Amino acid sequence: MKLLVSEPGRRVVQLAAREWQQMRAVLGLFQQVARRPPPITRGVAGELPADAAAMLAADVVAGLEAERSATLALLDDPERCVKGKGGYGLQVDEVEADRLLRVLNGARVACWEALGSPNFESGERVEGTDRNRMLVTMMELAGALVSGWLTCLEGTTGAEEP
Amino acid sequence: MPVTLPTPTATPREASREALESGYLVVCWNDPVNLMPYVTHVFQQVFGWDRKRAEKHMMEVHEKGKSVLVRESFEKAEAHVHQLQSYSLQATLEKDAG
Repeated sequence: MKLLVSEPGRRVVQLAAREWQQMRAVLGLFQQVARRPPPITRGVAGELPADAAAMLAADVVAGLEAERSATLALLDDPERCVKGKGGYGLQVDEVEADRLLRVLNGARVACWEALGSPNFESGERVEGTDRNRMLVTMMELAGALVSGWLTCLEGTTGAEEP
Repeated sequence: MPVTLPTPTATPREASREALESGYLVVCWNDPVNLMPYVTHVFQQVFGWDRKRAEKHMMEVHEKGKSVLVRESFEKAEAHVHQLQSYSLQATLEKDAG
């Protein structure tokens, strides 16, 4: 993954064919792994309107699904994701760049939740089933794509350096 | 002859309205899944903070388990929580007890 063009409101990022396939695979996970509606508060129950909390949670999950569909459509649009030798040139505006980051990370979190929200940092492990192995692999893959995309968003092409 | 005006005091209704308008905290909680540079990026995006301030809050989340990001009215705090949750961060709205 490499930033080719960075202009106000527009970026072109080079994706290796493998990265393009990985992005599609990770985004496809949303159909297999449902996100859990997040809680709106951890405070004392009853201090916040219950209906507002439920609506907010449902809205977040529905929003992620809509963003996943839009991002998949972008990756499949031959005019915005131009196939070249050995890869793709993906052209995005600010909103699309941010959306791609959000859905890739959303897929990572969805895998983690489907694994039972384990704390791998503290040594917690999950049962070694085929499904769990797939989820761990996709979670790590999504994390690598998030890191790569963040680098592209925050980086420069090098052209503007002295 | 000078006149001493009484010190203004909030009526219960005014006090309660004030509490509703600026008495909610947006809190981000630590989790073992979101990457640290990602969390920093999200804070910059959502609050318009510079990197230094965003990193300070990110480190607070990581080391202390949570960080109070802003104190707002219910509506504004709710909107921030919605934004942060759309980035899959564990953000909640808490009534300010202080």
